Amino acid sequence: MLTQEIKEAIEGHIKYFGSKEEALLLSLHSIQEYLGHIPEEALEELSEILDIPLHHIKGVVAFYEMFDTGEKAKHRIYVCNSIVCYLLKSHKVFNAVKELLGIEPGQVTRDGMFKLVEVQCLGACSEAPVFMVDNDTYRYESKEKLHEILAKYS
Amino acid sequence: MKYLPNIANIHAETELNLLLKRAKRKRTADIKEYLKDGGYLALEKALSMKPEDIVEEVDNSNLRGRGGAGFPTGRKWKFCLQNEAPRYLVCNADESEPGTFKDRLILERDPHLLLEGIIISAYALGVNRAYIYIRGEYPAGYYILRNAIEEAKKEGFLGKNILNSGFDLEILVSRGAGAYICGEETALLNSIEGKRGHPRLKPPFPVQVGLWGRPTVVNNVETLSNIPIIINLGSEGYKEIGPMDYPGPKLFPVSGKVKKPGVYELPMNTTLREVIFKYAGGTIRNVPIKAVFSGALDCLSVNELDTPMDYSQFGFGGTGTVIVLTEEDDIVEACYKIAEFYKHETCGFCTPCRIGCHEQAYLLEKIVKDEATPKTWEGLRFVTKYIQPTSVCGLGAVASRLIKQAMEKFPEDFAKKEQMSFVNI
Repeated sequence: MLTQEIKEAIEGHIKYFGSKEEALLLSLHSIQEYLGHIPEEALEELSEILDIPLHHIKGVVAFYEMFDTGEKAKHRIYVCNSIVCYLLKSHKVFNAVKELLGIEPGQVTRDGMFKLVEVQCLGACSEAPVFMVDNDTYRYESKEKLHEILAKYS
Repeated sequence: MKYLPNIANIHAETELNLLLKRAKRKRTADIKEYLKDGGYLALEKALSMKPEDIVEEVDNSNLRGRGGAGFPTGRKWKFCLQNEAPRYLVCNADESEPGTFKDRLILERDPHLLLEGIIISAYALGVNRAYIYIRGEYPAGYYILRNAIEEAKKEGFLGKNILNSGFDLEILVSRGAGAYICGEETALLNSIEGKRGHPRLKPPFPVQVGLWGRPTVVNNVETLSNIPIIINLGSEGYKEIGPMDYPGPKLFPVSGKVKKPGVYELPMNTTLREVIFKYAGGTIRNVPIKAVFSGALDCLSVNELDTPMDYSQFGFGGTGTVIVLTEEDDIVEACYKIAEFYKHETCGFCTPCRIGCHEQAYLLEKIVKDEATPKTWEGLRFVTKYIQPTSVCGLGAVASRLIKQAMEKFPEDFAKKEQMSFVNI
């Protein structure tokens, strides 16, 4: 399940911290980045590499909301629905994504390209309504602009 | 670094040119730019001082935590120093309160200011291993910090024998993954240790028993970024910035229905009214203000706009977050969104907060949707009363605060909704 590339990334994290426990969160980030989600088999392998019991790792994965054990998706669209974005009409972002991609929060497009995730504050409130695609933060301006942005992620 | 994600396009203005001197521009200042501005001179100066003299300077400067609680930084350091080495320093870069986006500017645009602050603080505290814990939603900040640390190492500001002083330090960056509770210092320490971000019982405090059981100072990004400024100006010079009791520059993230939302660096004798009207340009289409939320913590009415932005009893200190709501916004609905936030972010560790936050949001949802009965209101009053005194950590302690304040300050808005509930008996 874990490719050579991912294993090298995990070894890199262990070396960076000099601690397997401290490397856990970054390792999970790497798995999700490379695989598009965090499958259970990957956790079993990770448990062996890090020498951390599987139940502990599963508990950690379940706790942090960015770690996704659900359906695989190449890109994640995080739409903020916290107070400031809500006041500045975050529903427009949800509607636009639904119109363009046909997905509601929690769903993945049929081709596995995008998953829509509803989140709390993304910390860019002056730009509200705000959304992120993978690692990039954007202000929502219009459906056309959103379409343009999403086209960059193929 | 393989690539850098885009940095947020947040507007920034400064009256003081200290914390936002470089961060007011919408790009990352690299080490060359930082050095050109006199960067790392404070570090050189600090390394020629005795560590205990730096602690005294910081204590004398009256610097208080910029993360929310406002604890005096010098006092925290002194508590930590009472405990034996090895000690750790942890920078809390997990800002995730709704409406708070000030630390982000320093992390993304002026990382070396923060790094210099951390290096000086670590030297003062006798720390050789420091951490920055950055929230998962700030990937750009994460890569920028990793990159800046490499730059600083190359110049000899980090690593072994820093500037031939004999002092060694490494700074490690740890990443969260979407949990507001990890901004609570003990939950943050658990998270660095690769655990679920549950808070620990206090006491013992982190300065006594912190990361991996060792004495640990946890300071916010903005707090640590003040350290080079204090060293450069000296504590007496620093105290000349702003009011005597609450000196130093402060960042105020302003958002909501204002014309010019953004981050403003101002002295703390500014009032809330000035922040909104003089700096943020007033409200959109000049609609009258209904309320101001300080993050998800406090609710102020339009009668309280002369509140000073300081740490006094009714002041606006801490994170300094300003969210402006106008007459076009529904206060009950806004409270429901705040309740949703706490429902989403309660960590599940202690029962009153876990159940209470869910219940509070559920009841407010019924009220907003006009499905409430008098029982719903009775339940809401009960829940908002008891989450606070029975919860383990600060999250539970504040989960109902804004909602209770809103109910007191906007009785008509709530009464109107409550009237409706009698129809549903």
